Amino acid sequence: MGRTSCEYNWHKTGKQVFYDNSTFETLLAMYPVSFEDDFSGPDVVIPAAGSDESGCKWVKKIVGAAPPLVAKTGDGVNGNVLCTFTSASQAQDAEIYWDDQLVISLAQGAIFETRLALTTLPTLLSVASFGLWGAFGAGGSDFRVGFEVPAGGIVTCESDDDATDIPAATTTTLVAGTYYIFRIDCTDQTDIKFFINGARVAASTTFANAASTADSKCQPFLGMYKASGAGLGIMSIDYVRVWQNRS
Amino acid sequence: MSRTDCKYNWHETGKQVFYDSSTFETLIAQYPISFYDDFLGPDVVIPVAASPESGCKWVYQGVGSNDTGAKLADSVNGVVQLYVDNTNEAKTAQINMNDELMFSIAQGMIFETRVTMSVMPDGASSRGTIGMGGAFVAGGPAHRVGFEILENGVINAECDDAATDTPGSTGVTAVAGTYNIFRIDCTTQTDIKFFIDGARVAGSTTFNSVSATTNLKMQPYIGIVSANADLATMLVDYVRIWQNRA
Repeated sequence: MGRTSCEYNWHKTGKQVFYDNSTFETLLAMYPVSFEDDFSGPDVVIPAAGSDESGCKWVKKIVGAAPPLVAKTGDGVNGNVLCTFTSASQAQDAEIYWDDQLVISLAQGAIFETRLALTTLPTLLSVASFGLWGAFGAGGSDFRVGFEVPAGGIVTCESDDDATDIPAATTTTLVAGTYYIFRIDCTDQTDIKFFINGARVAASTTFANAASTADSKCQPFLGMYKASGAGLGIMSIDYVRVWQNRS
Repeated sequence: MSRTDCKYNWHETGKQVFYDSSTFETLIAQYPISFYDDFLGPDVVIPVAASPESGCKWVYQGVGSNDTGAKLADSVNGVVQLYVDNTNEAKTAQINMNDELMFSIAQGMIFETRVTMSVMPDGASSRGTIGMGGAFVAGGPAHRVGFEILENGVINAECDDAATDTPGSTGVTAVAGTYNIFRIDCTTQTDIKFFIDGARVAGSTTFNSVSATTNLKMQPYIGIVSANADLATMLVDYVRIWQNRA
């Protein structure tokens, strides 16, 4: 059983944070701006991108015939969202994000955390992507910090400020159906840090993001993408949390 | 860099509260009932008054020809913008909870918001209004506790229980485009306290609300009212409300 621990200067952020000392899930972070969605409740349908609805905190991007699916799982304990590819040989998107409302900012020390599993690991050209993105772009926003998981399940970290793209592979290989907690800490935008299950990863790489204040604006983004081919992949998203300082 | 501080008996409320030691924004307050909206997410449209939508915590109450109220696109932190123009008419641009009065000053309610007048009221008829009140009335609910931001940025505090209206000068002048954190503490209904940026204001005035039982119930209201050709724009960054259970 995990117990609650607390740090008064959590990872040198200057913030008091409560967390589960077994899973390292962040339970309560004393940030002014705080977003949390555990995908609980009856609203299993997520509005389509470009058709955001008042009161709904996400939209879904669906590209491809068949089509790929994005929805909350009926009766899913904890509440979760499934992003599911089909085997049709074509470009596909199955993602959730904030419809390009960029109200989070790397310049404000944004921290992104999610718990997710790839219940079917990506195959062929499928890629799982999740993190903080600028405006949507197929295959990746021009501005982003995030994790990527291609076929094979090895997790890569990436910071792209549209001038310099810094990728670095971690030593973590995901197991299908196992949940992991991923965190991206932008407290220091010149040295963004990535964590999996509480442990820092790709630490030998300095992820310096030099995006301007305007280009530092971002939104949470999670899902599956493939440019072509018959690749598969299913992402199950348990929760998303984002914190930052006020501007 | 601001840090988190904590008081075990915050302002003699008996509640443990975590707050930012620099801005005095209240981060976590250990109250049974807690409401928080930072206006994040893709849903920039706020339903209009009398047409609330499932899942939406606010409605927009507009009175006038050209008033507007919506989340500001791509605004870091998430922000609602309320606007009245200089048309010579009665105008309101306000968000509230569609007259669903689920908070009560008898339950030790505390209201906090971070607001700026990005364009100051440019005439005596226009003012920013912020606080908790009863059912919507243009110009102000019959019973309310709140702040008013007047022409030239003068900020007043006010408690009106529909029998006695007690105003008090805060001594604080708002600056266009500069955010302030406003808090109203109704822990003691006979001595309601007002704070701006963590400092008590109008402290020499006793704000005693003796509202009848039916007038205790309230909703948040935040916006602008204007009677003549006076314009103003308000930005609302967040709203937090806490209270004890009934």
